[in-house]
This record gives sequence, C-alpha cells and structure tokens, in this order.
Amino acid sequence: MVKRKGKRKRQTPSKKDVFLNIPFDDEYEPLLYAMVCSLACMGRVARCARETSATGQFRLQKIITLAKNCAFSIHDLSRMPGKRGIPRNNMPFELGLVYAINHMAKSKYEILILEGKKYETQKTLSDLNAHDPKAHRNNPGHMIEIVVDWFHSIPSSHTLPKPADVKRIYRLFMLDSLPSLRKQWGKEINFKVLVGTAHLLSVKEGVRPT
Amino acid sequence: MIVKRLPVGAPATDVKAIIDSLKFSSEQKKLMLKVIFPKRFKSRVVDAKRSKQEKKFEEIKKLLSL
Repeated sequence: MVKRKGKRKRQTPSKKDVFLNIPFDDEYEPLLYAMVCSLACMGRVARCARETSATGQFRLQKIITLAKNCAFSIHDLSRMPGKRGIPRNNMPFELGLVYAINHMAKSKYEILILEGKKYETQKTLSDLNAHDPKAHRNNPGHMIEIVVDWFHSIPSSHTLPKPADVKRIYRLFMLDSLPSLRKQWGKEINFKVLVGTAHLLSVKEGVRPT
Repeated sequence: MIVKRLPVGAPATDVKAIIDSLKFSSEQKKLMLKVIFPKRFKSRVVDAKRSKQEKKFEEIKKLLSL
C-alpha cells in the first residue's frame, strides 16, 4: 500500500516576535538599541539572524525560518546606497523574501519599512510606494516615535506606552545598562542578552503594555 | 500590495513567557540581573526607595527563575 503524505501544516507566525532586517554596523548601533528598547516596551521580541550564529544553519535559511515565524517585520533600507558607491542589497533582498513568504502563505502580517531621508526609497524602489516608508533621519528619538506609532496603529485591546516613556527607557539603557554589557561582552554583545536586558529594564521601570 | 491594517494580535504582556522563550543560560541571567541593578541596595539610598528597589529586584529575579 502506498502511504500518502499528509499536507505539512505551516507554523502560525508568532504575534510577539518582530523580525529585524537591518544593517549591522557601528554607526547603526544607537538606532538598533532604540528599536530593541521600543519593541521591549511594546511587549514584542526583536528577532534577527544574528541571534542564532551557532546553530550551523546557512544564513539565508535562518532568515527564512525567522521570517516565517514572525507576524511583524521591520526593514531598514537607509543603508542601501552603501559606502564608497557600493550598494548594499541584503536589506531589499530580505524584504522581498519576507513579502513573498507571507503573501504566498496568506498569513496575517505587518511590515514596517524605514528609510534614512524622506522619499529616498521612492527613487530606487518605487514598488514600495504604497507601503509609505518612514524616515528616521538616523535619529534614535525619531526611530522610537516611528516604532511606537506603528504599534499604536495596530488594533489592540491593550494600552501601550507612549514615546516619551520609551525614550526614558532608551536613555537608561544607554547610560546604565550598555556600559555594563560592554564591560562583560566587549564589542559583540549577544543579541538575546540585549533583548532580554531591554525587557527586564522595561519591567523594572514599569513601561509595559497594560 | 497590502495597504489595509490587519489585526495581527495583542502584545505579549507575560514577560516570564518571553524570558523563558529566549532560553538564557543561568550565567546570562545573572549578568542581566547585575546590569539592570548596577548600584543596588546602597546604604545611602533612603529606606522607601530601597524597599521599592528590593521589591523590583525580587520580581525580576522571579521572572528569571533565579
């Protein structure tokens, strides 16, 4: 008798996880910390390919797995032009990948697209015009406002913290927590520890969804 | 193109579930606790503030299952 293979069930994307498709360079770090703090205060968990460096998976496979499992994703295209005229194509490529995965699976998902300067993306990626990319102007404060506003616009029965509260958490993180983390980890701080610290700080200061 | 807002779900308010899902080692947990409370329980801190901090410390210690 021939065994019929059952249809493989797709895992439902996690509503608390947010996939980050962002550049990893020294100049971007304050923006990354602002994003991680904002997500922690919003009761969401930042996920990225960097967190699973020891699993032996190929980078692209890791990204696909993460993208499939997250109901939200944030894509920062501000570093697309790159330095010395060499374009950085990883971010737009991963955005296309995430879009295709979710669109084909017909899953409920939300995408936030970020750019450095207003209308910068329109010039090179006009397909995204309907998504209305938000410009953070390389400013962590603007980044916090954009991320918080995004979550406020998603229907929810919970009361979410305001940007001013999240900015306070970010300041505490930068002034108190980051120097201690640097002392212990050096330059390469474990991404999960970074996320966990932001969550615990938001609990300590009482800046959480209620 | 997706242009309408979709109800993607409520935020996770259970921090313990988030911390557990991140699967930290006990060393990482201890480090995070130290990072969050860098100058904890100093004698010059007034009693009311100190007890509030102690309460928060215990709460976070519980979250981390330490």
